Amino acid sequence: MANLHVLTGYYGYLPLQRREEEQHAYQEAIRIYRASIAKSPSPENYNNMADAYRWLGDSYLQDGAYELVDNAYKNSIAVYDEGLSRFSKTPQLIGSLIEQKANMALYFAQQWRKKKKFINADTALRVAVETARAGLQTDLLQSGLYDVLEKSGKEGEVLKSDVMSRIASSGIRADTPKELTNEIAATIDKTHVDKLLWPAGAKLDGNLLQVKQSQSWDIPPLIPGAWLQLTEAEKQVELQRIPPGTDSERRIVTRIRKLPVTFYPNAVLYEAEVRRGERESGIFDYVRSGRDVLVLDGTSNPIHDFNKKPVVDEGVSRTLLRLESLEQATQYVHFFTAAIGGESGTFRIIDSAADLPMPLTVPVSDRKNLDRVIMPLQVRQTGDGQWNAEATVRYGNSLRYAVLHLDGNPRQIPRMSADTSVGSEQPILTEHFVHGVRVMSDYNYQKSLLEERTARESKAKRWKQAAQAQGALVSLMQ
Amino acid sequence: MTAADKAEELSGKFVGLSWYQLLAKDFPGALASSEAGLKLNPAKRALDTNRTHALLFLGRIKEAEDIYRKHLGQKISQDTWEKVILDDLKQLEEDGLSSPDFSKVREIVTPHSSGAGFAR
Repeated sequence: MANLHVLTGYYGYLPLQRREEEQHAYQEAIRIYRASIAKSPSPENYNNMADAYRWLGDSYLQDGAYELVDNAYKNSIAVYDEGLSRFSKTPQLIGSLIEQKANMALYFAQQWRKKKKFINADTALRVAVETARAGLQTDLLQSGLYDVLEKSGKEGEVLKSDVMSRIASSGIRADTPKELTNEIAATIDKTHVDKLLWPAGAKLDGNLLQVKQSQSWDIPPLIPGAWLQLTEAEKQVELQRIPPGTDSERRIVTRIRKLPVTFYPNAVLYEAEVRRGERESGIFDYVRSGRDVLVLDGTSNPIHDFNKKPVVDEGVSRTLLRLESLEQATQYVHFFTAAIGGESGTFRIIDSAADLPMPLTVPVSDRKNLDRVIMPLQVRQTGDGQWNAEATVRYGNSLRYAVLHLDGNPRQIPRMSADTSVGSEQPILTEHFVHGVRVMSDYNYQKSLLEERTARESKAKRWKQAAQAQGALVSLMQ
Repeated sequence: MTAADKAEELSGKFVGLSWYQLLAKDFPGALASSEAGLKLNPAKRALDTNRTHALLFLGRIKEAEDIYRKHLGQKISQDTWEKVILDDLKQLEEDGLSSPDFSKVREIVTPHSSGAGFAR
């Protein structure tokens, strides 16, 4: 019904220049949208109401009733602000409203400029630019907002040029245009996106950007896939519902990433990067499938218990775990092995040496030798619908070939049918679950380096150096 | 790895450290390292050998003599305390480290010797 009023105003009364009826139609539409919002608020309703205010303002603009125009345009922006506030806790809903608000403010700037209302135009343009920038600061992946900034920059140049022309041809107070052009120049400056893409607190030092926090994650994800880092707003929402883990009260969550997983219904694997102190960082892993949450702590029982949870799927009772497709079986075998650990660390299926976390000092030749040994994961379905996986598994700092069997029993799988060592004491960082958090360690690597150094110095009878190396080893072990 | 296993492994590293410190003539360091290892694993006799040598080189003769005597007849891995001490003295001398008191130590730890004390 509200849309009908807008259409009547726009297509019916506007061409006939019947302003009062036109404006009444928009006002009626606004009233209906307001009632709809009270009943069921949605970004679409807010956008429609803001749009109706725009048509109303445009209608007043034809009359030259600038105060009423200003009022209608401001109401339009206020409606967007109300919507943004309303959906502030659902970041996935506000992206479109931010873009619509920014575009609307840019439109108002253009309208005001055409009527030579330069101060209003400058104000509206500033709203457009600040809205777009604020939106991008919460989530950089909004291409529409970059378009707004680009168009706003161009609009700013036109506006500045018009203001300058006006100065030359009119008797505007001398100080106003100068202030105005300065303000417009400052707004144009804000349309440049370069620094917007920098992380908070970053500074250019010589030829390289200096960042406060490593932009790549220190610890690789639990399983391969197209991980997506949550925006700051999404992170804040997720923090409200993050499951408690052991020792969680002493952790600070710095960022969260997520990956949809196929082996549970509607499931997402989350990884929260947590810090305790300046240097210690780890990953808190959990899976959310509908309302069920699985917290990974390096043991298999929570996973087995989760797997066998009863669910009803399209009227059929079954358990949570799904191993019907190759994708599900492959992802699950990666997931399960990485999520459990033994004394030497986690079990990780690896497809190439690139999957092995190695210290930078490891020579290329050693990396190449490791790469030659690594056999990529092969998963095959058996005639009766079960799965066999042949994999290279990293355990601690050793490598093994293993055959894993997934028989569909959620309590038992996967089972290791056979395995053999293909490399031990390799220069690989190890990974452990410590107090429910996944951490990486170069302990074994550093230890073996110091042991080698001690042996070398001792053989050469350089006792002082041997004592120093052994002392470093003791310190490391302590 | 249990806590006991870790203590055993680390105390073994203290044996190596205190030995290298003896050879580097860092006797206070050798004493401190062997004592740190003994705190972790008091039964580690190899640490007692290095501690005793360190005491000897530091001139704390009476303390050293008491320990050399105290562990006579005890086992260190497959060897006896006496054999390990004699092997250590030989190794230290080969690496240029000696003491006038070595002969007395040898008397104490050599089977069937009179076991006379140090002339001080």
